Amino acid sequence: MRSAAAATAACEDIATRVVRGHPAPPTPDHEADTAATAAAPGALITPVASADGATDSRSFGVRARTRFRPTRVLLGVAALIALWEAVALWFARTLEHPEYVMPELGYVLRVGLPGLSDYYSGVFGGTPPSQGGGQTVVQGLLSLVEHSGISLVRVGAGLALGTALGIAAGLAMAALRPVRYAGFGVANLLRMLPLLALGPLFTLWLGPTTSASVTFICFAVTLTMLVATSNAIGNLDPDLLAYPRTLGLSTFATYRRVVAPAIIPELAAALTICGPLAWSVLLASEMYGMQEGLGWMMSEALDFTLVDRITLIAVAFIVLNFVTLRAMQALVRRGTRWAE
Amino acid sequence: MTTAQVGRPRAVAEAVDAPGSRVGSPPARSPRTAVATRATWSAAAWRVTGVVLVIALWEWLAARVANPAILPAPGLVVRNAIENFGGSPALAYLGLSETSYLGNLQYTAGVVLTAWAAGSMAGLVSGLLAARVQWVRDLTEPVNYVFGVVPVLVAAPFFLIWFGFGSTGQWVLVAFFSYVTVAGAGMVAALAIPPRFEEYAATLGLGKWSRVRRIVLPQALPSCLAALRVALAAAWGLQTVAELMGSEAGMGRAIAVRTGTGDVASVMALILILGIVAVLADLLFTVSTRKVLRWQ
Amino acid sequence: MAVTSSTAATSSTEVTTHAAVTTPTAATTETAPAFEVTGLRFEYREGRQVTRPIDGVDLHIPRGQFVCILGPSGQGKSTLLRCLAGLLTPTGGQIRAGGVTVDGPGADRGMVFQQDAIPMWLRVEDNIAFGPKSRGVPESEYRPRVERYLEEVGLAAQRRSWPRQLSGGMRKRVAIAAVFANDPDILLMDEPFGALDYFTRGKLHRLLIQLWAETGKTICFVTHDIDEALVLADRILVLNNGALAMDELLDFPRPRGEELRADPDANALRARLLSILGGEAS
Repeated sequence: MRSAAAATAACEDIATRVVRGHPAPPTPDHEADTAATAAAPGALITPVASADGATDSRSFGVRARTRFRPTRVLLGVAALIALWEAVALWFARTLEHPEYVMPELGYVLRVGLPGLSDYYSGVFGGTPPSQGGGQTVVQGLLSLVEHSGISLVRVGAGLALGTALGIAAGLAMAALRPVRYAGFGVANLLRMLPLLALGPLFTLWLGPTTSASVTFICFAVTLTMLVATSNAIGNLDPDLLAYPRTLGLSTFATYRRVVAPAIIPELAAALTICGPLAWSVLLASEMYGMQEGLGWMMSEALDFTLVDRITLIAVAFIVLNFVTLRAMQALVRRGTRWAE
Repeated sequence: MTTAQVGRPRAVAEAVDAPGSRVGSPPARSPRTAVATRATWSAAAWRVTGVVLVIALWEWLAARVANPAILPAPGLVVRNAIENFGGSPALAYLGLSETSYLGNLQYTAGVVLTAWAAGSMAGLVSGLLAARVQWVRDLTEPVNYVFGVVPVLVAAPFFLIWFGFGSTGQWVLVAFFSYVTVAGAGMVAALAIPPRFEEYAATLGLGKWSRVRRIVLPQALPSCLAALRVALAAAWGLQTVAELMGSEAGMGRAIAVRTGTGDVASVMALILILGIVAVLADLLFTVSTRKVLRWQ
Repeated sequence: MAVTSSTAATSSTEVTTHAAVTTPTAATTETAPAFEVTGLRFEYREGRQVTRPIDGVDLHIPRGQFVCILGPSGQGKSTLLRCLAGLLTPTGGQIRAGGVTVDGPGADRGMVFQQDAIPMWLRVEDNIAFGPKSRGVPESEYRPRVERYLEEVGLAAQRRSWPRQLSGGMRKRVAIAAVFANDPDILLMDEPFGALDYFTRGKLHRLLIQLWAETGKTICFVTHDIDEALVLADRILVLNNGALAMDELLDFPRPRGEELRADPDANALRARLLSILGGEAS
């Protein structure tokens, strides 16, 4: 029987949240309304999730909800592309230099792709324009590959370091009360600073190099994962922490064997956010002061308002984003398989 | 899901219901309340201690490095912020249209706050409608889906080219970002409302739009306000980066210029000021929306 | 006291209730019945499996009757209620409420849900006024009703409270007051007290009966609790295997309380109900 003071202290240890985390995306709360009848297995009277071409079983309230229609989304994207083309054609007729505003997609591929050769350093072979050669489609593609690779390495390193540090720091802080409050004070302070505005500072300190980018990304990811880990631990059932103690586990063992695995499902959401976050920070870092990478390419093209090249770089960026996101989701799924 | 509310209520309730708690009305200041108050005080004390420690560490590091061009001491940074706040000869020399930190701050804040407000409102309406009106969802989903995943920053060059490298382009960028953020959160929140709330309203005789106004909107509002808060916090950074890419004024422009001259103290001072303003704006937002969230 | 069974369940038979002391007098044949259900069918598919919780139900409910619908879990009683409410569209058959075909939910059929469905962002008094106020009913008209029901459910002291500050039983009282304040002809209640403890349920039973006696509204009350049905109902319907397995009138005098446990007729009925409900769940 715990004394009131000990109980409060225990709950304080676990449940007092000093750091306000990023509001997590709201999770859908799909309950069947017929709670009583749902007790019998397979006896859902009003199945909430029904396939397309639904039967009348979808109840009034559920029927009101819109649905995600992949075909419509694809049609929408196609429509937007068509809109772009239409506006580009109109500009082609009315402007002297339509390529500085909105070039047609044909132009983007015809002129923009070889134009990217200008940013190619020749590392994969061939003679790039910077060494006296001409602009070619192949070299344009190679330049994309080269700089995507550089950016990808930076993102990967930053993500890996950041998640490791953030989770470790979160666990350490949860375990030791003084460290927790002290750390949270600092973390809160750092979180107040507008993240993307810190780029130039890292560049000043570490020079326009990969280290600056990686450090910047690591900083952002560490902070995010730190907060997410603290929140996840705070949301744990207090009994989950009390039970191992009653078995005699030390604090360290409790955190290593019980807490760390238990919070992975909750960290999943934060982890998947870290992918796009890292890319966003990378772009901010590279666009000002760097000498290579996708962001650098982007800022170079921006200096001459070459929209055709910017479009291609943006597409590469978007693709890499989706790839990173899927990769993180796959990783997370493997880590949470036990929770399903 | 603001963290202050998650986790604590259950655990605290557990403490109260723990065996040994008294049945009947406890005295006004039970031992439990006293312990809780002491705990809160020590939490605040530790928080302050942490901040003080970091500032002390900063001082020590700066003294070790002994080079204000690499790591200026905290005092130097603060002095820089205060001295240049009202007017900065350095900025004037470097050819900015706004020659004080304050002037640049006003420029940045002006864009951020107006664009965020407009974009968020549009996002709120769009998101809630997209949860209930299929054609609205079909129309807005492509953009929201893509930019829910891809950082809006990638669209910055396009907006700056199409709308100019001045305040218009920056405004559109921040407004678009706010729109996407809030619309996404709003739609998810409105879709997640358990159907029985709308069914109840329907059995009272409320029509479709009445239900959207009186059930969907209030129920989804807490999530939307959280998204608004997140959008505002990120908008400051987004605007700064947009200004870094080319602007006639603004905190980002000032930072770019000072970075060019290698003036670390100024850059840190500018970032510090931005941070303070961001915190104040966030505080103002939280306080003014507290009334709307009383019921939670 | 004899328990009167209805004669053969053809829809044209007028079921008369023996007036007990506190039961409101039954409607005359001129006014349309509360519910007229003919050939009701409801089916749904899950993948390739077709389930028919309701398969051919005919029902006639006169105004002012308190009907309890019993049935094993997952056997369609909630489905039936939601069809009556208009929240579900039946696969076949027709429902008429007050002479008008049911085509969606409406203010004439108020509903109380098992889980709390009252808006959490409205104070108690605003919650009770929510229905009429949102429909544009003039304040002079609904204010007295709101005040009356606020008093009757015993929440006058909590009128400015938020629902999150109330206990489960109090929130149920808010829901009851709110639905009464909207003045529907019919009340539909889907296991409203299922989540509450025994004593709270007892208090709410007495409250509900009192409000029913005062207003004379028709009530359809779904429950899986036989004792609850015996305490509340004028008439018990049992839904099993998609059809009505029982349709009986109760004639125990009101107010009903613990003495019902000792009544041999009540116990006989209870035994019959148990055998239907316990035995043939398919």
